[in-house]
Amino acid sequence: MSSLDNIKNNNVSRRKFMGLLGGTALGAFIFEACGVPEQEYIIQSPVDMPEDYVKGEDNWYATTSDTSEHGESIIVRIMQGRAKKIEGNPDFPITLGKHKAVTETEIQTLYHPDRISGPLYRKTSSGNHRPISWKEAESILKESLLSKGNKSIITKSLRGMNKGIIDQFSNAKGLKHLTLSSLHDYSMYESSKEVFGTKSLPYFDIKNSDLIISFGLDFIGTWGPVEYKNQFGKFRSKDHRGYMVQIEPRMSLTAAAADTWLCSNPGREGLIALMIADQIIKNGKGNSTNINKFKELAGISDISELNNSSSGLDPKSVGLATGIDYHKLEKLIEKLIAHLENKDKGKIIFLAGGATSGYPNSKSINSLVFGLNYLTGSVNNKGGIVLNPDNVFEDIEINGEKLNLPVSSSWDSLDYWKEEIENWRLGSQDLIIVRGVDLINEIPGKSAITEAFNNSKMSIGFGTVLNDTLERCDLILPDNTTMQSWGSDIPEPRTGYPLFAFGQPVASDPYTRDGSKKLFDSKSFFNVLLSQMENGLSGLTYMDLCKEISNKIYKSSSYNNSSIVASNADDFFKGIMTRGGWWNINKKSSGPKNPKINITNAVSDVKRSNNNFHLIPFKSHVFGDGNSLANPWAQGSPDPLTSITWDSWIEINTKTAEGLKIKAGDILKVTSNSGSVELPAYLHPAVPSNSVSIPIGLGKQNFTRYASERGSNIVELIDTSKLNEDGNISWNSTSVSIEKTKNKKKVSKFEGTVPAIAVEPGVPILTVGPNESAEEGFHRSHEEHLDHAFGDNWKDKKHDEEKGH
Amino acid sequence: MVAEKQSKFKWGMAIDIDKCTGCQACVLACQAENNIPINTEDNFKDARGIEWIRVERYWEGEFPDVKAKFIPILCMHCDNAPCEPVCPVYASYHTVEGLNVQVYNRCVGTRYCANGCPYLVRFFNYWEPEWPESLQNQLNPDVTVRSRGIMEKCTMCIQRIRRGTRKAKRDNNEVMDGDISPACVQACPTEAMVFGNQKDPNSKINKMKNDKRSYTLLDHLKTNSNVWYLAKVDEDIDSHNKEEGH
Repeated sequence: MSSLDNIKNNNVSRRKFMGLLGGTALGAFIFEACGVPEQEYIIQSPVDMPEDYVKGEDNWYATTSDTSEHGESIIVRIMQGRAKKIEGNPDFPITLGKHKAVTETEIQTLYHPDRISGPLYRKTSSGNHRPISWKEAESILKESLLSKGNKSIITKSLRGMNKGIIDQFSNAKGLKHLTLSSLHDYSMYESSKEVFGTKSLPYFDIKNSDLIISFGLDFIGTWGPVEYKNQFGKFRSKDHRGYMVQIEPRMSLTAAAADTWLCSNPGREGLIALMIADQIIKNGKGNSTNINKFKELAGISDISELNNSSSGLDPKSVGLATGIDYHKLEKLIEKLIAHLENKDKGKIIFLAGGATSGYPNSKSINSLVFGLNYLTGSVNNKGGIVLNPDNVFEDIEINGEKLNLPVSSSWDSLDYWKEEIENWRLGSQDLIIVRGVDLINEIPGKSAITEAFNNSKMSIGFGTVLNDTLERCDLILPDNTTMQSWGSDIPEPRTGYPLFAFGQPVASDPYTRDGSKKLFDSKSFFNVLLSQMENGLSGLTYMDLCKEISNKIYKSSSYNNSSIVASNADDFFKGIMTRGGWWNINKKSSGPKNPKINITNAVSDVKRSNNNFHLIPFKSHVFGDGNSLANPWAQGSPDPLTSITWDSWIEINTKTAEGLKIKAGDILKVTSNSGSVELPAYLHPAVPSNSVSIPIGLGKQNFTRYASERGSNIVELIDTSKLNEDGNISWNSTSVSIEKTKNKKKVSKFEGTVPAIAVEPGVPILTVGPNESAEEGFHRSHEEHLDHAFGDNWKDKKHDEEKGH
Repeated sequence: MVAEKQSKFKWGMAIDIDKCTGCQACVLACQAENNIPINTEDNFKDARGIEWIRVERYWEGEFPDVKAKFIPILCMHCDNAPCEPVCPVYASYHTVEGLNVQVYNRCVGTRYCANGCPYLVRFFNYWEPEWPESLQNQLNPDVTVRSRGIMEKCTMCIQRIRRGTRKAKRDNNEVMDGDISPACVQACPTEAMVFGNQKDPNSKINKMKNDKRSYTLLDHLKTNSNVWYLAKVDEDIDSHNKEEGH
């Protein structure tokens, strides 16, 4: 039967009919002749088709973010009980209506197809898990807690009420609380608190600053609340555009956004900080009160006393020691002095963290850099470091039980962890409870940790999906996401005033398509712990505790002139939940309390063997430490610098790779003193010739259908023989060799999907000088490109043409 | 054209590249809002990933004087759109509010529009989009899920525009500048992206359009794009010019 027969017999769909017409001259003729009225186009727009009309109302509810380590607040669009979209809470001080890429993935955590459907239990470590009821599970948990032996509970770093509940639970049941995460910034948190004399991280007033000099802190990429990214936009869009310098051994997103990236040899950044201090003091442009304050806090009479290296502090010597062209260091000093002289537009801020927290001298270098803010008068001033006051209260008493509300994050040192794991190995552990961390993949020594973990008489894991640690637990308990639970946090960093974040359950539990059963039967981790309490907290839920805090705020003097006005405590609580938290911008810090700049090793010497490379591990901008990788959006979101998706990779300098005959996609064997892994090579020009970089978080054996057995876990490469001043891992101090294998891989990446859209061949992104228009920039770029492509020949030709030759 | 002149709106977008950090927040926000199929590993390997907005990264220079620069690229909603006249079934058309949109149930998948688009921002569904059952809970009910054989593209989140204009009408208000934001603009942490009505003389987008750093991509093709870019700033260029006496 022909197509026309089909049409005659009415056997053809409308779409097929259109297709047939569209593909023929007849089709074009018919449409032309009919002259479809313009109004019809409007009616048939994609959202106005009758079948697309959506019935029902949507609502946006505020709650806390699962993926944020800073206590950010989100709003969730809910339709018929289902979560549809996440956005940053526009009311909340550290989100301002914006959110990070990873925040979107939280919705996939809620509806993940591999969520643990209900409690699972195995009687022996070699047995299989079988589903049990929550009643049975809670009874097993209760029995396990009765044990008199060693018991531990392991979580991410916690603050506020979450930490308070864990402390209460641990004390009541005799557990030890340990915290863990890969590549954490403990040294930065601790040194900043010491240098500025505060109990929590200060606030970095980036938007009002005129010059940012950041030593490694990736506040645009992997660290910091989204508000800091927003501040960067404002820093760029002021009448006088702010200038930013990033000093670190790997180009992060912050380095990419900076006006100048100074790539220092790992560990030598302290020399640059000392050079800056030396120049400010010697140049005579610094304020003498500020200089004396710095010297007093550091306990020195001359900067040279802090220099533990053999290098001088002049730009040439520092350039030699750091591997940076000294002209660039001279330019940095010029910029700095010009800002010191400018009273109106001369606000300077020095930031530290990230890369600097990965060196053996992490605490010293971070303290030194933060201390520079005293030299420039940037402490507790606009455009500088704004100190956070103590929160409204630091604990709360409920039914005679004191609940601590700590304001700052903390992580246990590797020294402490080694001791703990040794106890497990010796078989003296009765119970391990783990929640929110993939313990065996996040600290070096996977096989030893696995063996030790298996030695525990009982292990209980809380989580939303299975991972390598959870699947080894005897009892597995499905946890709620923050969109299903009550929640709270004390954000860190706060924005210079008291601030609480609160969350609420916003989405209904999803059911199967036929509505016969829930897709998963989960409970809130904290509610499960509270249900085990036998003291004054017994019988209370997390929501009750949120209400208690709300009541205490309402009754405190800080309530006056705060973010919420209510006629009674109930309305106040509703107001808090509607806005996602509470804050009072009128309560400011009075200044540093007992500050101290404690520098023992300003400069570190991170060694590498001949022909070896420094290994600079990093967190991905999208999937962070790897815990978001279970979600396909996190996997499928291109890494901003390499555009790689769904895999791990090793970054190596293009020219270095050429010398070693390494091509993109070649599988390289990377070996350190601790182990080896194999990864595909990605070549780019922003890697220093003496180092290679690899993202952490991949290489898990069992982590849902989307993340199992993807990439390599490079935690195995990290050298733990040299710990830093806090007893933590020196993440950036590992030396590795690389060896090309015979294998090659087509890496999944966005790069190459579409050809470049160039403004002009060779000039893909139009760049102008500060006083240049787009048109001027275009002509300059055009000439530069011709210069580059044809040398002087084109100019001679143009000249001849103009003269009529 | 008469209807276009009578309309109160002509939508457009401006993107300040100097503030773009390449963070991908716009890309994921767009995927979440517009029911874009999951981009699998194989999709990327086959160069078939669907991103209505993408962030392109360019390297400039060699180490240590190397820079990474980012530019978000989306449909330019051209007034003189090359994708429109080539569509044999009028699936690709221009609204009176200045948007270039796609009528999915008209599209027969000839892909002429994608061939005609110089910005490469039209995407063809080579496969039926699939989500596991539980992830279907998240799909946005305001946006059609496109089937296999259909061309799709950025609509400037027309569902948000419709919602915003309807709400203003219902409340007897005017649509104010900033009332409506496509998902990418809403998410952008640095506020590099701005969306607005070009017919509102006081709108932010008009100010950005008239900024001296403003330009449009592939201007020489005369597509009359409705997305403007503000050029990236490099202070070294200025000092370089001064040194050479320019």
